[in-house]
Amino acid sequence: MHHIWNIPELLAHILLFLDDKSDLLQCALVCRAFSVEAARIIWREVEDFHHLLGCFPHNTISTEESGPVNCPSRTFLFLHLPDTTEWDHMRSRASMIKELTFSDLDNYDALLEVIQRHKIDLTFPELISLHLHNSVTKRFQTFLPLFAASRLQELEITFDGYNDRLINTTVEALLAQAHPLRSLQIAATSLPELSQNYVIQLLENTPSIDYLCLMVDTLDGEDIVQAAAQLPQLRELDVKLSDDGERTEYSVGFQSLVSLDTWSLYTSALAIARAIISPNMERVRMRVLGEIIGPPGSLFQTIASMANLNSVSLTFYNSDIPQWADVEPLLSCRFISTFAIASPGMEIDDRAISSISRAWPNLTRLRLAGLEDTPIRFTRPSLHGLTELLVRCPKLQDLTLEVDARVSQLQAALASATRASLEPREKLLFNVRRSLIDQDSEVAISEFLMSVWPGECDVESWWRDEWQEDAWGQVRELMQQRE
Amino acid sequence: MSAAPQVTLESSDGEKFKVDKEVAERSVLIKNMIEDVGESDNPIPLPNVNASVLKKVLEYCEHHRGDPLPAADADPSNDDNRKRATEISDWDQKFIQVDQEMLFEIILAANYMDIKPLLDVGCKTVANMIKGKTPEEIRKLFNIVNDFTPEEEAQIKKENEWAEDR
Repeated sequence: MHHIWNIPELLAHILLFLDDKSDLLQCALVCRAFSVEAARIIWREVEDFHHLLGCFPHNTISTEESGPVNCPSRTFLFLHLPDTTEWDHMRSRASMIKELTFSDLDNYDALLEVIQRHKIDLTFPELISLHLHNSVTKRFQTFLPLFAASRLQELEITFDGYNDRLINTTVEALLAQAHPLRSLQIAATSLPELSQNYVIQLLENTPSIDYLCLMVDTLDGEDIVQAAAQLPQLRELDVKLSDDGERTEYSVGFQSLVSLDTWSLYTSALAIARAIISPNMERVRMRVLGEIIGPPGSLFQTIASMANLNSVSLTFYNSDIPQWADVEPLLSCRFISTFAIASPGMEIDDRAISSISRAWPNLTRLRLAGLEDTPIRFTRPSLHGLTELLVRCPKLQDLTLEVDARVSQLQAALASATRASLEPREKLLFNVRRSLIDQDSEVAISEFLMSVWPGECDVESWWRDEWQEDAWGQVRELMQQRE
Repeated sequence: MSAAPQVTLESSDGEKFKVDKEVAERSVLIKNMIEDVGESDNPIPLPNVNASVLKKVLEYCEHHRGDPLPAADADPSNDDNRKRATEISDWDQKFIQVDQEMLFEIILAANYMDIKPLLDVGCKTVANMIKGKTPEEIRKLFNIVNDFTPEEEAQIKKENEWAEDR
């Protein structure tokens, strides 16, 4: 045996490059030296707390299943108490965990009772990331002391119903340890004033947070967003607020923000966007609910003031219809490479497509689509407009655009494509949705698309129960045959 | 134009290698030694690396002389860093096609001389040899003795079985 295997740090470095846990498991069974280092990686990320119970000998625990057969609820019970050596072994595995997910805390009655009764010191000294996916129950309070020694950086937690006391306990535990928390995700059905204050207190005392995700089903998140504006290192903010939100103004802040993702009323979306003073904004994604209050262009003008944006995605639900003229201020953001807008009734014509292709030559993704099927009467870009877009934006990989692909458009479009010298392209996914097409024009259209996109092109369409769907299907087949 | 500054390295078996300082300084160990001792005509001794291995290591350093140096805090245990690092370039693959003894000696030398990209290439290559193999096949490949008791083996299987389905 080569002496390299006797150097734990080198063995560990080799095993780090095994990304499949089943390979690591095979390594754990090679010899004792391999087993120690493989275990450190296997136990780094544990998706369910109950895996720790497998560290006890075979006859220590019984598992009872109840509830529906296809989705049973499991309860673990101790048949006899583990001895000191067995506890130590389990603790050694717990001490390796860096990322831990709890699914259902009610299943751990037996373990919790033993931990409490015997004051077992079960800690997770290496824990960096903790996820509580299911709603937090009263059990959570019992678990908090277990993390006393952790170096927690990422916390994801779901509160269900009124949980002032739990939230208070959580915040107190986090503040008491001065965790270097960087990522905080909170989902709650409600956050009454007392709970909000706890969370705000946490934000005010945790300047290290760089990612905040907040999902609250009531109005309660707005004051927390306000507090988040003052976080000095906040880079990413995801908020899903209630559609009853009324706030029209946030005080300015968000000085380090890079990415904003909101799901809120138009007024709240606009207020958050207006409050951002970060010069580093790269990504904005907004899902806008309710009516647009005031001129619809205000939101677009506010977003357009973030000059370094490279990604914009806007979806309007149940709101008034922004038209292309409202969106045009965004063309001043020169670095945009991905742009998507979904609005119930925005009409796009060749002029809009021409200005997009001139303003954003580095586009890799462009999605222009109504939420519902676009009415037939709506204006669509012609094949000439499509040609200009494809010629000017050679990096496109993902295009959703309804065009007028009837043969009457074809000759002029082909002429302009012929004038351009086209280089080989990446693969393009082209969703034509409900683009208009003539019967018996499939061969001509497929040849046109192959001439304006000299690379692989996968065509999708959204016509339902119509001959147009068959026609686009034939275009797709013809293009695949050619490839 | 003046010639690039050079340094002399001396292998464990006494062979001397004169190389450009820029090439030698791919090794953090040598870079630190030069910084500590200052410019000198004396050869830098490398008592843990023999001539045949040092020759291979310097071949690697020469090819990668202009590459950006890895960040000092790059942690391979970080998932992103690992994924980013899973591919081996064509040149590195050909370079590392050596017998098992030489492969291990290159890893040891890269570790001793603190040349992280070379250490990664070597360790990745060994990891690729392990992928998809059973414990017995791994033991046979690397001449490793199974030192488990049957009870220990059974316990390891039991406590890690959750990882098998992933």
